[in-house]
Amino acid sequence: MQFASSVFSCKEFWTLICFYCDKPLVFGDSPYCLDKSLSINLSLISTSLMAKEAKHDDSDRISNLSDSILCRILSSLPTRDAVSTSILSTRWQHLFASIFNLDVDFGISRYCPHIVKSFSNFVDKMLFFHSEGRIERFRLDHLDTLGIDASRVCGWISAALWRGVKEMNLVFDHYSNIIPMLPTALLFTSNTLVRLKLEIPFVMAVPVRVCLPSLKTLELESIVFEDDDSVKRLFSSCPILEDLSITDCDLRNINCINISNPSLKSLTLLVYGEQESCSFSLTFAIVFDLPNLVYLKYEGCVAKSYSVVNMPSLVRADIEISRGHVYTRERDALVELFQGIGSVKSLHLSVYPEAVSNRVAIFILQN
Amino acid sequence: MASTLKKIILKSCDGKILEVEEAVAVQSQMIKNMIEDDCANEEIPLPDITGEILSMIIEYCKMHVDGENNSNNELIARDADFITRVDLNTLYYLIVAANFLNVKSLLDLTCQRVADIIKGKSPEEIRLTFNIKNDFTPEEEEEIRKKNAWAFDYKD
Repeated sequence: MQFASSVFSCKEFWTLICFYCDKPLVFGDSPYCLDKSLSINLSLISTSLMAKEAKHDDSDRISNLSDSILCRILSSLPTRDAVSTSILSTRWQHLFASIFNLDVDFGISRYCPHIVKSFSNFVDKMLFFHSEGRIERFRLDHLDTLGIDASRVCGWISAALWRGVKEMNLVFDHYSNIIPMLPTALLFTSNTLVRLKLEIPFVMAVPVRVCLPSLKTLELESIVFEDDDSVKRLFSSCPILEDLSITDCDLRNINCINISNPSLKSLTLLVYGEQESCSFSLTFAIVFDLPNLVYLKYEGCVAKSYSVVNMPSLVRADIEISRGHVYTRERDALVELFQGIGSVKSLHLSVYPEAVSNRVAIFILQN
Repeated sequence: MASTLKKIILKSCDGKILEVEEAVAVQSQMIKNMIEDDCANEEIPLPDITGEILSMIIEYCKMHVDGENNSNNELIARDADFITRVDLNTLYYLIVAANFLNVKSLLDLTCQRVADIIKGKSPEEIRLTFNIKNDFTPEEEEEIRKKNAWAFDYKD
């Protein structure tokens, strides 16, 4: 302690301790904590302190990094944090304008006209006058809370697609009044998209010429599926798709959801029936033609039928029938499903107690 | 088999000589290009990289070559362990060296580390952490805040 106070002021010393211990700066901590961390680290600090003292010159090294490296660092930050670095110093003032990821979450913000205006101007500049010309990741979460015009959002999404975006993540609130008109013709023919997540309560119109040659991960949540053909077309037009997740989508317009894809390795399907009808039963059939599927997660209700279940490579299946009653029809459907995944190596099954009948239970046990 | 055991000789700016297996050295795109152009038969001088930093980079590259068969999660855990041991000064020199040697995964890791340090801090805290001198007048600062109010006025 004497060593410290003779060389540094208390605040400087504490700053150093935090630096060497990699702990955040907290002033006004209890004396006990201060002493404790001191006793543990004092010897370490005093030795490394002397070693560092020679080198320590208070110089601002990070600002000396090249523009391209600083731009890479800023691109790894949420965009709000990246933009707020513009106030650090003149060196940082314009760096954020070259970031290549746009990642904004407005989850809990309040509507405020001047914020909407400044945000919209910022995104306009980023996407329409971007200096580097590429956008890699584009994530907009809960934008709807801001009340930005839907057609403007559609323009941004189109611009990101034109700029060859690789990862797109769009989340809009379920009860939002403003649903963007997605540029589906552009979205579902992107050559560059590798990951796509859509959590938007909109009717997903899949164009006839859908083709997503680079897509590996597709997550759909709260989407309203348009019809049988469009769904089948989408899933079978992604030649290297590996991960597919369908969560809480509105499948009222569907008679049969056909998931056929030769490259798919992991499928997550969360299907719950119509809550209004109390029975929670599903009104559609499911076809799984997935020769290379390794992992299946299925949660929710039993489908009308499982007319094709082709998953010869399946290693693990997590199946949770959590809602609904199992009458004869559902029982027969479940038998179809379990027959289809008969070769699975590891089955984790959880069935809502009232839902299972003896016949199904015995069938599962026998297999 | 002989070619995989070939050694590449690297010389740091403070004169330290390090022999590195080719499989490890080619994690650097720059060295890989030199080998392909047949320019890596003699020692390769690295003018801006000290022996200490070079050893760390080789340790990192070796970890990735050895861990090729490990799961992604294991590699992520090792990366995290590697990078959290590094202080700010060293981090700076690692970034410069990873950029020069073009080791993309290390450049990503080090840049992400800086981003993680910045994340959630106020501008004043960031300046204090990195010794950045604020050279704006209060009026200029106010102007910048106004221009991108959405990033500054946001309240959680």
